[in-house]
Amino acid sequence: MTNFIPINLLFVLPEIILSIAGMALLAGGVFFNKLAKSTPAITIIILLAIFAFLFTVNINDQTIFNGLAKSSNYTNFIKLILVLAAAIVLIFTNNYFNERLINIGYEYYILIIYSLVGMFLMVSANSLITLYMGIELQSLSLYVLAGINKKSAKSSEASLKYFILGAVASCIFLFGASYVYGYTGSFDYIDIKNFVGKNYESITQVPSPLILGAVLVIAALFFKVSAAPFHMWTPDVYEGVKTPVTAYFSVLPKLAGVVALINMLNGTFLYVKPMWQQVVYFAAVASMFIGAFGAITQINFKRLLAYSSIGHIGYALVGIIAGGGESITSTVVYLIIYMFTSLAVFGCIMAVQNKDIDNAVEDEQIANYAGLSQVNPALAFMVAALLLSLAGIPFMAGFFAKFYVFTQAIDAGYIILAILGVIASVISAYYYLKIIKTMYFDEPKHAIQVEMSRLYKVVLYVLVAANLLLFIFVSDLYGYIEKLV
Amino acid sequence: MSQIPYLTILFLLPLLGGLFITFFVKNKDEEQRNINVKNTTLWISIFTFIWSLIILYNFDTDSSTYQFVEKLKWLPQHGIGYFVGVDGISLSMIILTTLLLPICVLASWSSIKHRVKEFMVLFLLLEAFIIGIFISLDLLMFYIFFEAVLIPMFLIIGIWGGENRIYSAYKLFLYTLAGSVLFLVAMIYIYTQFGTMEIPKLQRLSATMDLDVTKWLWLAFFASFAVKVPMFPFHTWLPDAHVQAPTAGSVILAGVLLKLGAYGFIRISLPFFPEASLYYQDFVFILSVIAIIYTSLIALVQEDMKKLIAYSSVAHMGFVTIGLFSFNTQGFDGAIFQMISHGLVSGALFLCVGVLYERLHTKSLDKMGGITTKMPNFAVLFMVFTMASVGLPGLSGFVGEFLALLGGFTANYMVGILASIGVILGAAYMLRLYRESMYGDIKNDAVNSLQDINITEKLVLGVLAVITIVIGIYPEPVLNLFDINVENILRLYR
Repeated sequence: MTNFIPINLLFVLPEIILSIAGMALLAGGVFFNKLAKSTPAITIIILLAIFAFLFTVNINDQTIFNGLAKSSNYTNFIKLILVLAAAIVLIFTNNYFNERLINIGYEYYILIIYSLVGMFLMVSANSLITLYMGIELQSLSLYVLAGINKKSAKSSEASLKYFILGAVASCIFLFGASYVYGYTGSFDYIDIKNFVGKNYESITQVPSPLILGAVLVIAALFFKVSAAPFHMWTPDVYEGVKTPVTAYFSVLPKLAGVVALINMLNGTFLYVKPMWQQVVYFAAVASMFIGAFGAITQINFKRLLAYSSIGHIGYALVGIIAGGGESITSTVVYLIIYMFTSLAVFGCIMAVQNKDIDNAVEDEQIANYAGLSQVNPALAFMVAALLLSLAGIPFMAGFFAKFYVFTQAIDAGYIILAILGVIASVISAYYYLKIIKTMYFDEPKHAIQVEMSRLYKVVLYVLVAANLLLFIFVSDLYGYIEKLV
Repeated sequence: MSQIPYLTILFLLPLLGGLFITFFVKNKDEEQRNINVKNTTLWISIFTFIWSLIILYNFDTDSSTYQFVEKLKWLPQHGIGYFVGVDGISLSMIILTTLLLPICVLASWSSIKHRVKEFMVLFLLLEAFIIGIFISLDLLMFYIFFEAVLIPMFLIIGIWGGENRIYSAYKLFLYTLAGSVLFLVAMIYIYTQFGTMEIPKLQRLSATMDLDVTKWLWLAFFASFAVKVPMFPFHTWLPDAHVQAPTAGSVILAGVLLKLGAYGFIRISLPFFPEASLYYQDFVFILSVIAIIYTSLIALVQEDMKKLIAYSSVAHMGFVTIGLFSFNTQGFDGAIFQMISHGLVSGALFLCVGVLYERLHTKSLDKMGGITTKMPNFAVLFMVFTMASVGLPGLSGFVGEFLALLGGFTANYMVGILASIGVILGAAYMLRLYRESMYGDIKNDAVNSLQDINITEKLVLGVLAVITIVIGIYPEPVLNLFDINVENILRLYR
């Protein structure tokens, strides 16, 4: 125990670098104007460096800091994906703000860095306390990010809404955690699991307050990943904030939240599985259908994607429900494919600007994209392909994402759930088609202009190409993650 | 087995051809570019057709197993692979597809005026996907192509269709998608039971399943195939799609896409679930008989030529399902023959309507009349296809309908009698179509200035007419092609 500090520090090196860099940039930016201006570039470089570090490092599974956190190739892989996604968002962001001549302020990048640290903590949490710290660090950064557009009333409203509801969810988490602690005497995932396994022979013997505690904790996580019925904040926040922030919201916290949820369900609450399966079942069905029906009438692209993300969390939950290694794999594969598809969609919609002064429609209205296939065929094709991927139509990676989660559900005997899932996916195909229709069948109504820097274009093309190629090579991704899990 | 990957080449030809056109056929002058695109597409499709004939030449009709089999690993953890092969049934469908494709390209030569490049590329993609369905021996591949076909079809109808195109495109897409997702669930269930997706293996393994389970699975597959066939009451997407689609879209829709449902029955439902198929025999018979009589009656009162032919398609596909579910050689042979014949004949009929539409800009029967005097050559060819559709002996329609009815009579004479009413009604509505459009007084001034069909149209319709007559008089080689496979499937029912 004497020399554990130097070893353990290596495992949290990414977190440490991020925290220090965040503080240094924040403090330095106040005094040196030049540093503040180059913050975006520095942030991206730091993120890519961490990506490279996580890519090369290879470690054994172990718990660190006296069981507060754990570190493995699996958690490293998730962190790697998170860093990569964050870097892509930042590349898109720079282009977006430069094209629109908006000075966003360098705090934006620092908030991204801190939310990333929070997500890292959530992913490697092995104790309810660590998890809570991670959630709070992430959420607080996101609340501020939501309100970063200070002059817009919508943005402030979104931020406030998100903050109040998020704070309530955090309270619920703490309340639930206190019940769990009260009965088991520990915050540690493994201790809780062993305690329940040892003291109660069957699930009927588990005292109901303990189950209540577990449900509350799970509900708080549902809120963070915007699963129904805790999804109410999502459309308003997505619509209110700046599009790059929406892109960030719609992918990163989802992966971190679901991974934390999986860790908890399959670790801590393993012995009350029949109980949480009901909860997840309900949330999955509700999310899929609310996502499907909610999006139909939307005219704002971001609101539509908000509902779509609710639906996608539903499918991810379908994958979780079976429990066990393959089910985790299928869920993680689902989320990774969803994340990068969704990021690319945001990349595409951020590139389009409406320059029609007389006919000005608000940015990101679906009507804005009318006739895009004639203005910029390549971009329209990419959006169409990505949306079909989200809808789960073959020849895009999204099909296999759905295929894997449904296979897991059916394998575990949840046939009705799978049938409900495919019905919801048919309904959701309608609104994805609606956008494709707008782009391809309608005539251009507004003077839309597409502006992309070269890096932006490259990233976007790579994302779309990856999506197509992943259709063929999806088994490699699946096999890789399966080994890690 | 030969080393040349015949089927992969067949599949890749149109696919890579489409990509080639997308990226390499360019010209500053749009006119010139469009001509280049059309020429390239035509040559690719003709070459694909020739390639399919080469496959036919190398095909061994005496072998009952799948031929030209190729196998590659794709999802090794899940035992799913790229697994292709053909038997006589799928090969005949492939040749039908590759034959109709150049015809479609020619049919759109002058009628498609805007976004020509996208149109041609989508058609080649469509061809690749359809071939993909027919060569798949892996259930997952089959499903993927089955769904993927919808994307080009959605765009073809949505971009180049008539006034109400968007509604029709949606209807087509969502209807078929809703059916095929149940296929997905059933497929995954089978997969979790046996751990494989290979169709030949599953054809043996699925016999071990419990009847109660197979009944549900059968229904799930049925939902998907019945929409595609289409069977009553899932047929309502078809008239809309046909009326709004451009001519070439209608041809491929009637010629090949409608066969996918029946092909699904032949490849999956019937060999996988013999007991359940027997159990649902009456159910299918009832739906088919309703389809035949009901849609024939609707066809009798249509004013829109395309709608009339679309409804007649539903009726004709009713004969196919009756033939298939009669579980005897005559019925089965007749059903498959009817699929081929209907593909040729209804495709040709839609081409005929296209010819008139291009000249008169209407599909309405009350705006026609007296065309025979102005377009004598066209009138003769149109007559051949009308008669083939009615089922006049000596033309291809007769063989299929007769055999299917014979099978139906053997299985259940009531079905035979009721379905025969459809034949009479068929004659009634097709003859009405011909009379009102071709004979009688000229009701429309535009008819007076009609030009007869040009050399391309003569060639296209002539080729189809010759095939219709030849296989009508001497159907033996066609029947011979899939005879042994039919016997193989029917062995399960004896």
